[in-house]
Amino acid sequence: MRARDLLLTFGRTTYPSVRWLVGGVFPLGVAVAIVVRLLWPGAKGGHIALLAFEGGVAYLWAFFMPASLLLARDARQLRIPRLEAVAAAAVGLAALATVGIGAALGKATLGETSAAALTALVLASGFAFSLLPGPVAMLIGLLPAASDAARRVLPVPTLDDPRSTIWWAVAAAGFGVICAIRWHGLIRLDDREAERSSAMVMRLRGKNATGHWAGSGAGVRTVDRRRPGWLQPEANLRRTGPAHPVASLRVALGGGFVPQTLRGLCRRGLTMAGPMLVFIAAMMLILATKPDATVSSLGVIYALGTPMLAGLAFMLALGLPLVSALTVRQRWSTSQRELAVLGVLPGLGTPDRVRQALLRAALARPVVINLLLTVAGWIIAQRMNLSVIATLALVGAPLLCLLAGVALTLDALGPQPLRGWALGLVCSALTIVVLISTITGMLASQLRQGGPWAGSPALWSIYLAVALALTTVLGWIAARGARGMARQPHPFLAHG
Amino acid sequence: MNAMLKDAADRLDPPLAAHGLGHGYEGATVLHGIDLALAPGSVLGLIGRNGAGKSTLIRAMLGLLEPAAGEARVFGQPALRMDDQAKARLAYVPQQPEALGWLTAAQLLDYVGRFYPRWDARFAGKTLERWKIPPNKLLAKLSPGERQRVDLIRALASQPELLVLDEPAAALDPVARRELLREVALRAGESGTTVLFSTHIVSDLERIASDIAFLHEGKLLLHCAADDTKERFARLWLPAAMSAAAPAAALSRRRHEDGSLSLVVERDERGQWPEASRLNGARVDALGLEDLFVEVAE
Repeated sequence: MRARDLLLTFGRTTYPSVRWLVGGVFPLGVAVAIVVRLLWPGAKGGHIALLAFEGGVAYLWAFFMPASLLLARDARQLRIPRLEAVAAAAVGLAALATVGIGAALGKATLGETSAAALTALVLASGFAFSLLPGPVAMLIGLLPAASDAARRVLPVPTLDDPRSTIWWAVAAAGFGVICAIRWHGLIRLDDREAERSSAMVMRLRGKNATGHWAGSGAGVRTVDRRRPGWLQPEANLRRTGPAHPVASLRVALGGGFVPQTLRGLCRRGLTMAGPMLVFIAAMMLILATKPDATVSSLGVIYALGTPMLAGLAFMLALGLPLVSALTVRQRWSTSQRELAVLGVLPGLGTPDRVRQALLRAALARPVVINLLLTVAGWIIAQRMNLSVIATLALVGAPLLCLLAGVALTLDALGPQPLRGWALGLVCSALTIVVLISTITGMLASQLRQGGPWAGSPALWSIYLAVALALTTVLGWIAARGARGMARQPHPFLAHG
Repeated sequence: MNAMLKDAADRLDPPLAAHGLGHGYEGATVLHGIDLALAPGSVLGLIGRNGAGKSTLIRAMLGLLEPAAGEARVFGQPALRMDDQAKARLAYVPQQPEALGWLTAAQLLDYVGRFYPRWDARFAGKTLERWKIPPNKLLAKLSPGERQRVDLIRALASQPELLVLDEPAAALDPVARRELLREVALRAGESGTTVLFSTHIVSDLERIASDIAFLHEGKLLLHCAADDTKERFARLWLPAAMSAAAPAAALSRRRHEDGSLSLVVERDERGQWPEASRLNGARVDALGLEDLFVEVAE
């Protein structure tokens, strides 16, 4: 087993889109950790640096490293045991290296052992996220907020509590066992079983199968095929036809655009809110069985509800425009599929009318949602008398997401969309700005203060400059896309 | 009066035509100035090897891609700017019918049917039943053959005057293929539907095509009536000593290891084979459609 093979395993087993994404997020976490550590030498700076690094670790182990499982499974199918061993060894070595770096980073603040335990926990939970079925994996994403809320009723230690090392080590071991069991089971799946597997890594394999941002959507179609019947959207065709071009185009765009029946809407709502409902029920149960708890139920709901609502708002504000734009981009990447139907479908009217209907179909939801979030952010900021920067963060983030949705959709509908790397760069920058804005707004509203950096003009000047630069870039992308779209004889022409 | 003029123009314009159509991808030319027109009521089989440019030509002719050069017209209108009336008269089945996989077969037909003024819902329902396609199963979950058949039903139920099929039989079993060909022949014979279909299955061409167009490396090598090919083209074999006398105009030219030469040649306007065929030792072999395809494409 050569060291080179081990090192190259992850690069060879991941799709370029994943490499781009993780290659951006993980080094960013490390870079933020280093910069914060250098500029902020105290214990608080150390904690923030470690948390930034752990964010990168979670991403790395949830989306990048699990690809080795796919290699191990394929190697087993192809009867190449040596390759299977290489994949497993690469995972082991990468885990050791990750824990080692985490321990070194946290040495000065938490201590080596504690930092290693925390890194191991993040790593194992990230890996478990990829090996478990979607709804269960979503619960893992809620664990930080859950532990924060549980601290009010259970003796959950804080970050710098010496007892935390044991908690983290035990939790890491628990996740480690889950990972080992799931890995062992998943690599033994034959093709038919793998098709049906609900493990996130198996589902993401199909989704990323296009290999790049502008993929033809072949992978998405595989996911459509694999999705169980009860999770399939239930299209409502009642208001479609030549008299309803917008609704008709929403059907043709697929995914989240498809108008749903009431039953389909309820099912989708329950699927999305289900894990949260389970979590809230669990917290209520804790409260009910612990009547001597010193905290009011309102306090728990507030502590739990605020991060959840902020998370939901973040997902809606950012996720909806990006997913919508990427879906359109996929549909427009080939003339073989939906465009082959739409391009010769009568009754949609003149090219100008179709363009308008298409933009309304593609943009209505992200625009309306982000306008509502902007108003909500403004009301919260006014009611809580937040500082200017916190207000800007709360109001500006959804507006930026709105602009991104418009820009990237116009870009996708134009003849020459952005290259994959440029799109990745824009999306990463947008995610970071919106994430910082959401956290700023959330902390400011929770602490009823000016926000984490209200007293640091240098920091918020940088934030504003980056947000303005991003706005300019998005404006340019939107104008370029709109010009390209207007030049085309009709809007159903695939990318050149 | 205007309506009369329009009707007259419709009758004069071929249902589908390409003039000097050229296109390329990433620096490679895929179509070289194609000129092709379909006569009303004809069944044109477009034949060529994989990658010959058949699908690109079809998409360019239907306005689904903007060609780098030339123009395509559908019922006399520029393909890229067809109006709803022209679109309602044509139906197209792409090579891989994977569109709208989130709908069931019944939903797809219901959805698409709303846009066509002459939609035959009864035919769609009956054919779905006859071809044993589960109407309430998601298209994404159907087999490739079943999806192709759903798309064929979609195309036929709109009662098109122009039917364009891109390798329609690729995913079909022999029984389904035979049924499809029968349906296409019936439409052409009884309703006068003009059909363009691409394939590399020569037997399909022999069964239903009235005309044949042969696309090779982006060039249209021949376009003629299907019945004419046997009479019009032949293989001319010349021994090594006579290979210098080979005619310059030949559809293909292949030199053998012994120096002899095989050429696919065409009769001239007077119905004569080239001069070289009359040399001593020269041989002219009749070519079936499949042999002609292989000779030219090899």
